[in-house]
Amino acid sequence: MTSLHTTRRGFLAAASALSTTALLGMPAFAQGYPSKKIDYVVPYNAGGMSDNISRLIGEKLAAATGQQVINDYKPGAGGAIGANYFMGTPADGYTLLQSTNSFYGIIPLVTKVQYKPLEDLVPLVLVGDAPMVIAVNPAVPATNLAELIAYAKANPGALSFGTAGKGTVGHLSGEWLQKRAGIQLLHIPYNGTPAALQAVLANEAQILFGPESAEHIAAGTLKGIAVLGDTRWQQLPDLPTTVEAGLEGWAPRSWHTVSIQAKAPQEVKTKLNTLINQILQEPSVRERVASFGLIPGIASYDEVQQRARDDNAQFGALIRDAGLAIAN
Amino acid sequence: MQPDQTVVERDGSHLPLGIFCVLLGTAALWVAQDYDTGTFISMGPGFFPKAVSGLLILMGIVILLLRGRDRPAAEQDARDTPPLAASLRIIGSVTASIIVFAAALMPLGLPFSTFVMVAIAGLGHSGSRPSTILLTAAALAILATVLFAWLLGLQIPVLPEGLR
Amino acid sequence: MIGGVDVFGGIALGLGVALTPMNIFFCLAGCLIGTLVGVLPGLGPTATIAILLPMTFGLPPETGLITLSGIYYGAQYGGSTTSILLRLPGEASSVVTALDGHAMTRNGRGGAALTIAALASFFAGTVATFFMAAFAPIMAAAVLKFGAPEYFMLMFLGLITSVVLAQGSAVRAIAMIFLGLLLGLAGTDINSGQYRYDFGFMELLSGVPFVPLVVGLFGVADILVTLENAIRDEKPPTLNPISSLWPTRKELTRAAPATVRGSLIGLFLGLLPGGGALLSSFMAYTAEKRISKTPQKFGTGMVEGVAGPEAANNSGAQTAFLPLLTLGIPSNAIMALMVGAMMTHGIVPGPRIMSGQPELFWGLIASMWVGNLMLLVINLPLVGIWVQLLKIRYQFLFPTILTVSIVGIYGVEFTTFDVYLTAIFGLLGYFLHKWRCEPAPLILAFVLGPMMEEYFRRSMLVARGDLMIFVHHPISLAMLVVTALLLLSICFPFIQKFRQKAFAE
Repeated sequence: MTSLHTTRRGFLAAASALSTTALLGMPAFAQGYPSKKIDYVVPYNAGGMSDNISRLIGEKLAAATGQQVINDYKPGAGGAIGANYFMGTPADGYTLLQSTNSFYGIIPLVTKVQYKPLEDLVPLVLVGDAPMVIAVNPAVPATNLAELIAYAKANPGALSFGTAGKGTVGHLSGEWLQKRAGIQLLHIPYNGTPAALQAVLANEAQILFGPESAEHIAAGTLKGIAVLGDTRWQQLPDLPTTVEAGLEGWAPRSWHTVSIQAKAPQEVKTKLNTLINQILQEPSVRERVASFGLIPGIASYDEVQQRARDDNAQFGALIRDAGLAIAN
Repeated sequence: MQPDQTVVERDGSHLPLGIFCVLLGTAALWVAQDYDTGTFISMGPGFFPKAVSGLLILMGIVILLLRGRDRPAAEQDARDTPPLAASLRIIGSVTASIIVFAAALMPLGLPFSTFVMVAIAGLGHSGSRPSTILLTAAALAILATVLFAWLLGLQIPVLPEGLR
Repeated sequence: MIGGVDVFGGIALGLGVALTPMNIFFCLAGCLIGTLVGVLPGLGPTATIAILLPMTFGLPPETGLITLSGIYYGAQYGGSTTSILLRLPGEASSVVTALDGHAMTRNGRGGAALTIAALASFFAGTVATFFMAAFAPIMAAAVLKFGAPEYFMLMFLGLITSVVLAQGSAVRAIAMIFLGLLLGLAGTDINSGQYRYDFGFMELLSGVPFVPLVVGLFGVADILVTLENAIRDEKPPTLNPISSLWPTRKELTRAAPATVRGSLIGLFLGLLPGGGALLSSFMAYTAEKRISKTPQKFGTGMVEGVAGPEAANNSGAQTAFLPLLTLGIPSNAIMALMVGAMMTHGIVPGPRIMSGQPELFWGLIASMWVGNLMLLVINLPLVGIWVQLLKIRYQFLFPTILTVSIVGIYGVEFTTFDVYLTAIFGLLGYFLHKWRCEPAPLILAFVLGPMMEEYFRRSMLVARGDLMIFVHHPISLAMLVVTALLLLSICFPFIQKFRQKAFAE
């Protein structure tokens, strides 16, 4: 990748130009930033969750600033290719990165990337949390977390959890549960979340971590046990949290954010935080975010830095315990 | 089994193929030496690579030993090979055209790099006149830009870097 | 009522949704776009749907999904066209069609091959739609009967069948299988997270990309070979003039049973997420070659070798929707994009779609049949136009193929790395041709290899290291027996030949 320093590669036809223009120039932000179009790097393929979020925010950001916001897809290596590409763009605040907390807590520890989390790359906002639901196959004789833990203790090695692969939030959730509950679970990595879901439905693995089980819990084809963390999920309001069930403190979580290079001017970061938070507070936007299966969130610039710092430390410890870290 | 002296190697393709398989298998085996092998029941990431490389080497040796007898006789049509220089020109021009396109796309943009690619590839066709090649290149440069950048809306740089 | 579902009420509801003027229009538009894009070798349906996805956001959910599905099966048709006419498969399933389809073109029967492909696909699509409407819940349950050991045996069986695909030396076909397996190993190992054969390239962490491999081995290599032949012959490469666009009565009677068999094979294999669908065309081809009284003629333009795989491919493409619509499990990259499209409309695919969104479920199923009918209507007249492609002089044709493939490859992942890879695989394909090796077994092994390894290691993990898991699971055992029989039948002629030779000496 020698051409990392090209400013702009890309071009959108009218066909896909959803997140563009709307030249309703808002004089309140006309002075200073942004004075030209903004590039929005999406480190995954078009059509996925990150793309949906980036289109939603990009469209509104364009309307609010009167500048074009253009999506630039750089998929590959679980987001690492896009992140590395992003670090090669100018740090003037005119390039944004659609990202998750994995870019702070997981990816830099398990993949070779060209940035140090929070030193080179910082999150701007909290778009929403993807609730990490613990779901089990109906054949497992447990209806709540205490019963699940008791069953696992009585039958060590009998239960396995299926994940989308090594070093995913799902995998680290399983490691966390084993550590906190003092139980033994077998990790079975699958090639992506759909395959893991299929396996838990077929009882090849028994436990699944993540929001993908929601429809099956509602339909009764899987049993919901708990939501990791301290916030219940509006889509499954009867499901208790792990904090309620007695596992206090930090729990693995997955949240979406928009990131920027740390070297960008501080006033740009603050302004973007304010701008995007205004967008995220709109009721219609909150509704869309919820329809993606996320818990809509709002965080100040400092709060979101703290979130990323916590995840970096806590995931880091889990990753080192699981022996997944690479020398970077 | 005794080597069958009566079979004449008519195309000799087994020699480079066998050597290729042995060399590639050896290289793959060498790269895989650091991967943990594990056991058959509990395979490490190295088990499959080492097994496959080993079997590729084995097949290479079998191909070399069979000396072309593995192929049905009817298929062994004696075709005269084209002159080496002409073959090299074709391989060189087509391969180079793709590599030049990849190298030129980011700095020079789609139309220009397509033009260069087609022009270089055109050298591989012996009967083409230079003017025909250049016209084809220009036409395809326009076609590629209209089709991919405009109609399909792919994010491909169109203008050279300095003009973007 | 079948399985507690009112099928006829459902179909009536579905037709009501699919046959509104707006949905008919967008279904037609999708099929048309899909056909045109499927014809471009590099850029496949996945990339196209990703690009065109935003266009459907403004449409009602049913209409949006009907459009995207139209692109999906339109692209399947389009991919067969280039396979048959130019030996340029765009995806794994059309690799098989290229074998006998292109041979038919060389015999001057290209038009007939295209017509048969279209008719077989339509028939298969109709059968698949009917089965899906009638047996959706039962078929969904079948998906969950397939665990790691069953998938492993299926992949293993698929790999053995790829030797059957070979037309020349079986030894070289086996060498190609190992070469394909080796190429498939590059990337991140799923079980351990270890990087293998990545040579420091991040682009290789998710494996060697498929499109550069297939375009290099088929498209670019074919250009090199044809140009070289042109020097020797001192005249442009000619194909036999296209005779009739319509298949003869004899061709039709041979194609018909192959179509039925192919449809049924695809119907079942398409259901299986994680690699089932791509096996369907290979399996159908193998079945035809095994059943045929003249298996040695396969590869020289056997019409069964076009009809069977094309039917399997198309019925598989339809049933691939079922895991998504009944379990919320996307079975391939395109179905994953469909999830994205549903999510933007606030629809979560899963077990509640059928009861909660009946108009979406039945509308989509009915639109599949409507779409297949439209494809037939679009494609039969197009056959005449496509065959005109063959009249273009090669000095203009090959730069066009090169341009469209190479730019399309860049458009899949937006990285020039893939373009460099294409050049390398083009060279490899050229030399393999010189060495009398066929790329089809290599491609199949490349796709199946990583999955075989994955499923084997997972089987061992699930069974806690007990190899008997493959025997204890009945479906796995059945496939093991079929595999063993197939292996014997492949080896038997060899053993006989060697014995005869030994006696002769």
